[in-house]
Amino acid sequence: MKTRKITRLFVLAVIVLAVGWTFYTAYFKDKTTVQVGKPVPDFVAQQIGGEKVQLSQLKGKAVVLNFWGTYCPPCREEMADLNRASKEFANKDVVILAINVGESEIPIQSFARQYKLDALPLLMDPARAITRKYQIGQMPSTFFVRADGTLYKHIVGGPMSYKTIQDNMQQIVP
Amino acid sequence: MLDNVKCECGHANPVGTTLCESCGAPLADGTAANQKLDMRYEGAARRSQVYQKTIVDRVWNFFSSVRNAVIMIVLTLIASAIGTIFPQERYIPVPKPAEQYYPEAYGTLGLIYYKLGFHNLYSSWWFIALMLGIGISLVICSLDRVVPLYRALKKQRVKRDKKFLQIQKVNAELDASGKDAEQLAAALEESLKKKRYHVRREQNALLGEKGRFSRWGPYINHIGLIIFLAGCLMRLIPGFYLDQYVWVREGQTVPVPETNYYLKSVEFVKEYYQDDEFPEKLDLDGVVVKEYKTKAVLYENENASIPGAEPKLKQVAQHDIQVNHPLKYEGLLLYQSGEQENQLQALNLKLMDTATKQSLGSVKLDLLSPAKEVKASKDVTVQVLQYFPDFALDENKQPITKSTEPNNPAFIVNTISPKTPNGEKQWIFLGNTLTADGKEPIITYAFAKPDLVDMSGLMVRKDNSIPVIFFGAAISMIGLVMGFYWQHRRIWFQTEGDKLLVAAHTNKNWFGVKNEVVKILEANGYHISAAQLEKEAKQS
Repeated sequence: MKTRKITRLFVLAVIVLAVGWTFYTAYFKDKTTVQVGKPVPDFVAQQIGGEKVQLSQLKGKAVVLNFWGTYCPPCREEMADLNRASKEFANKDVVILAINVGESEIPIQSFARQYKLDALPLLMDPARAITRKYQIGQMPSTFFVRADGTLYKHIVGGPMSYKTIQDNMQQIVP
Repeated sequence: MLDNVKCECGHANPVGTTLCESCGAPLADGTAANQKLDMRYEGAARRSQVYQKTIVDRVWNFFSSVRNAVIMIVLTLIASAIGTIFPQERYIPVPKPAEQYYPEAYGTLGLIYYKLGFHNLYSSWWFIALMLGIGISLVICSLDRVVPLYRALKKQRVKRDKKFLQIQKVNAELDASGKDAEQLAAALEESLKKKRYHVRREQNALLGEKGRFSRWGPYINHIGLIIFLAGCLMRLIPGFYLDQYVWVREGQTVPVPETNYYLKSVEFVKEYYQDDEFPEKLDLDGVVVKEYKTKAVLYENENASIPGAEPKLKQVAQHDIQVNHPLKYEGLLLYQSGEQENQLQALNLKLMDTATKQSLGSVKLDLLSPAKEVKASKDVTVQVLQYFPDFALDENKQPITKSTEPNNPAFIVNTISPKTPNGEKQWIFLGNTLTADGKEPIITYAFAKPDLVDMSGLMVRKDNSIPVIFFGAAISMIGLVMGFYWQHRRIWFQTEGDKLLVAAHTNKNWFGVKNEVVKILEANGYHISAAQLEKEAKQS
């Protein structure tokens, strides 16, 4: 009688565990690689008209990562503001890196000339390796990363207002 | 164990037992004549019927009910059917978010459809809950039945109560007067053995049994199904399942999504059947494709730890991918599943002095990653100032690109030549050119045949759950064969006074078991037809 109860409880417990685990992995587990409060993945990218940039080498600086493309209308709209913010925070140790998704050098360069992006570092991701790692869907997609490498905030979509950019950057000033 | 039911023979049976575990006598009220015989689990009490008090028991009882299992299966079927009314999310024809698409395309019904999760049926929480419910029910139903059945069959006695024999579907009472019970039993035992029965004897009672293992068939089948289900759920584990698609141009090396592999298409081949290859003359409109083939090389990136870093590629496999002949490498499968022929790869342009018609050389403008400067000849250089792979004008009439694909390429080039030392800016579209100032160009661009390549679409699959699923399916099949192709037959012979009691039971093919009883009796001097065996049963 007692063993029967224990067996039943055991069988049900195993089932509950299995079901719980299945539901957890399928629905509740956060499968994003970039999570608020957690360190963001490192990457290396070629800067337009410059050297290669590695995120982890920017020690002591807060970083804003903006994924964009010249083919994305809201991205085009916020680039000028990002350029302005880049200047404003230049000596506050906050760097904006604008990572272009999938385009080649000439379109990016001509875009930079057209929009007078003189202070914004433009990085290339032609094979979309970084884009995939950061699981970018909708663009623009902007990550505000603290100087210690952890994510402060992720803003999907845009264009962001200058104030939004400014306020969030203010929050991550080291 | 207060509620136990005591049999005439003195054995205490658990509640819910219909046939005494020891002697087989029916336990409920009523006589053998009107007793409805339930031999399914040897009349043993199923666990779910025994205790119904605690929460654990209630949960157990819910899942041990076949009725509930059938309800869940029917609900699953209905849901699957409803899921086919509107397209699933992955098949919606326009690139719109699902929450917009369904109400727009199908109105209120579409909205309900979306809200209830039918647009992504197989991953909706309630569908998975139903599947798991069926799985749990499968486990508990089986356990609830197999344990008492196993025990009952294991400890069944040879000598049974007379009533037990009388209520069997096949039974007869024959005259044994004047025969030596001992000898008769020995002769019957011999006949049973000839029919390959496993015989047990207790004094003058005989039990012949064969094919008992077929009773385990359904449970083995269930174990197989549970393994199968577990295999399906394994796909939820990261890294176990991959379903992607990759487009690769001839000569291009592209990363394979969600892996550390890179794939190069050396060449894409599309072959057609020749007329003489058909067995008879066919009146075909057009041609028939014989083969789609991608000559592919698979590389592994040994420098994949940091995204964006220069890939360090090591060739790991090489294969001509054909339809149904994928490239296989360590569980990764690349299937030929799409093609786009003659995709623009580069524009070839001839330069000419407009006034003198003198040739100034030619340039090739790559459409994926154009160079900043191309030399046309010794003293003629073409600078690429702007490039729009998918040219369009935005609302402010500004040139933009709609995507990164070279669907409608447009360039702004600056031609530096002896006649145009400061350069001449021109737009180059597909098939025509335009000077920046709208005047007649000093240098004319003429279009030669562009570089065209074929693009191959490959399905990327990885499914580590396949061996588990096949294993489960095989076990399930074994269970089915066991249960369907063999029968558990039992024949009882018992002499009581001057009567020979005969009874038989099988879980199917009653015709077969009756014939065996008839033949065994015939061999021992009793002539009785199969029909009589049943008739006798009705009379008793």
